[in-house]
Amino acid sequence: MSPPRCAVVWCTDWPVTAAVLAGTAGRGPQFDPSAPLAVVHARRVQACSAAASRDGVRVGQTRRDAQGACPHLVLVPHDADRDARFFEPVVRAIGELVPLLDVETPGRLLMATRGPSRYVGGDERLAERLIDLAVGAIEQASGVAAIGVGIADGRVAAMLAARRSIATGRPIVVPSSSTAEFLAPHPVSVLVPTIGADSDIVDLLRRLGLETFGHVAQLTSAQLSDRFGRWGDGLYRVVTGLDDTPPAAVPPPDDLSVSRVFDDPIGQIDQVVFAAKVLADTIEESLSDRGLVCTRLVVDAESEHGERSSRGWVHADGLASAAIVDRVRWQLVGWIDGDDPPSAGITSLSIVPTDVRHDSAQQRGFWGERTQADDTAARAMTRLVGLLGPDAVTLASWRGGRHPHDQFELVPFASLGADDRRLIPRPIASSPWPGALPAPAPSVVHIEPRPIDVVDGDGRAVAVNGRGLVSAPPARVRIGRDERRVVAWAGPWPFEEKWWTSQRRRAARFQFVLGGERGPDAYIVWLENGRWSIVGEYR
Amino acid sequence: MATSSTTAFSIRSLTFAHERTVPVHPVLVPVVGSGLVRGQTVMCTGPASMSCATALLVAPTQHGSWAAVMGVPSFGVLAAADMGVALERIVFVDDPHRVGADAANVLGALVDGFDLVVTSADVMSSLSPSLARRFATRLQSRGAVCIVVDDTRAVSADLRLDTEVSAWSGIGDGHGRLCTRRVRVDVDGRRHRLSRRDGSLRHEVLLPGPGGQLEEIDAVNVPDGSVVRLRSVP
Repeated sequence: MSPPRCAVVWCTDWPVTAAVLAGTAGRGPQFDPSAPLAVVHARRVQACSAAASRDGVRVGQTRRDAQGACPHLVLVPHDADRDARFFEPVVRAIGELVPLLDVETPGRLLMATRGPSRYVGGDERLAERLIDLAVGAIEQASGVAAIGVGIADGRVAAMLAARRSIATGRPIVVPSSSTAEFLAPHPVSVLVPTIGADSDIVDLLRRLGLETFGHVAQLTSAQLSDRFGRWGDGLYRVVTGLDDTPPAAVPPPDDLSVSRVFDDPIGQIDQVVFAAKVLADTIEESLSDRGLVCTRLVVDAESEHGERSSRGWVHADGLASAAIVDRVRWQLVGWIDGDDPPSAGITSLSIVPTDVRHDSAQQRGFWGERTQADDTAARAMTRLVGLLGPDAVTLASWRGGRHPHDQFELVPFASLGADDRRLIPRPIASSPWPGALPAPAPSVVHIEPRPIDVVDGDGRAVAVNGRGLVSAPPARVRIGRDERRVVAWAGPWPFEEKWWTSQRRRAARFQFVLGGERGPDAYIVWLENGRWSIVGEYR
Repeated sequence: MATSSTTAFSIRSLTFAHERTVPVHPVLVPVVGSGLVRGQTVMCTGPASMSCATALLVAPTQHGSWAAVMGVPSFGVLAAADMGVALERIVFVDDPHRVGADAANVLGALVDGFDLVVTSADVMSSLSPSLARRFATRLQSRGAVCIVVDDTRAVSADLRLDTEVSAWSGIGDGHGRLCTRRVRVDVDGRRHRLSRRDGSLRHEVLLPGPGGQLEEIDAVNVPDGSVVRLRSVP
């Protein structure tokens, strides 16, 4: 089944265009659109103008590298509100023609083309109209703005079409039948700006010899899932034109929409945003309780005089609470500071999730998406490393092995992240390790085994011969000064490991149940080189 | 009146102290109630003390809470994994005395950063009485739960889980293997809701059960040696 046909209007490097627009509108320093400009955020280039990229400035570069490449580069600080505010005219102009549109981020619009195409008479006509409207809305920045329009089956294909149309200067319409042929020649590196893929993974794909979408599409979904997990499955859907939205989108439960009515109209954006935070937290909580994540929502604000601002926001990866709040702020900034501001304070705000999907792809990992508890714990661990030293704070990482103390290794917290050191979770459906004693495992594992004496009924030490047979059933065990009766025992389970190295080990394992004052106690006991010792306790 | 809309946000719904809890494993609900009250100290004693402490970590770590295990190098990691503890949220910290660090700072960092702090009786008894008191106060104000393995007079526990082993099943005289353990848990404590009425409360569980998890004792799980009564079928 092919994904729905959609159109994407994409102004690449929008932050630069927004900065230029802000200058001409008298709301910031003026910039010469033909000069090399770059918007920097967190010491990295977030967007750069065409002149800058001709000089070798690249998105993602550090500020210093960018200045090295282009010494006369003009740096502009990042401002998310500015991006949103100056994108509003574009949204508004296109909204006149296509009322149902979704803003992905400031700079990128997504809409379904079924209705609008029929209205204007075809996809080509629609694409022409869209680009005319967008260019008309930001005439002042015509020197710097790069606007592309693409129409294709699915979000990713339409995005790539829009991206390509910037170079050609003409909107691109990909016919339904040739989505796969259109996608095939695209290099995998475009996954970074389009679906937000990790550049490390893209690098890995290229090292594997998978240079283009076409190469990746020749593999099967199963092969990609094997190598990359869920992300591989998503990649397969993208490169074959099935789109990156998983098919398991579910209709949202009814009670998800949240709204708030203000008794006193609010004139300050910050106060509304503060209320939005509470609403967004409610949404995130109720969705995560159901194992869902919101991929599209509609924010609706109304002023005291009945003026309304309603806008849809989409994000394929799902919108967390903080992301929802950002969307609300962008929308309000665009509305209140825009050409057609409300004439009175805001009296109501509602957030309605309209598309949700199962949250299976969003497992929160150790360094992945983080909860507040994760952040607090990470801060505490950093502090503990400072107090106790780098090796004193450890986490368990699966390694596998035959003995209880082998299966997990303790990895210093300080070493995580360096040299790709990561915590390895225990495989979920792993078959038992050959030669391991079956569950239950001992709850206490001695790092230094405790030496004991094991004797039979006549007081002679118990031994195990080369064939793995005990000399006599063990009757009593001496631990330090205590002597205790053996109630039950099992074994020996001999093992010999690393016989090919000098770390060769050979021992017989036993389980002992010893009589105690407060009930029987169980132990795991080894006989190694004729010496008995306790290695684990069930305590 | 102009501020009424903002004051509305700052008013939080009222929560009672006993509602501030961390979750417990469903099998332990009849023993300790619906959750461990934040700010309290829980002491696990008896011959199944470590398993009992581990069992208390299962539900909170699965629900996103972090736990620190301080000064218990013999903690059975594999047993914890089998029991269902989310190991990615367990941090192992050395005993500050062994490393020669300032114990007060370390305890403070633990209580600030983690919902649960597991430690041993040896570590707690090595603290000076004033430090132990400060630790308890900080625990209260931060809403963390401290779990002490084994008995010590150095801390006054709000809740005591005293274990007693009734029987091991699956192992014979030279044959079989350790399979399940019946453990009786006695609950007692100065702040326990049942303690005032009934003295202490007893409950019997399988710890560990056949797969290493904590399980309820029912007709299916009756360990060897006891008779399974057949029910008449109408």
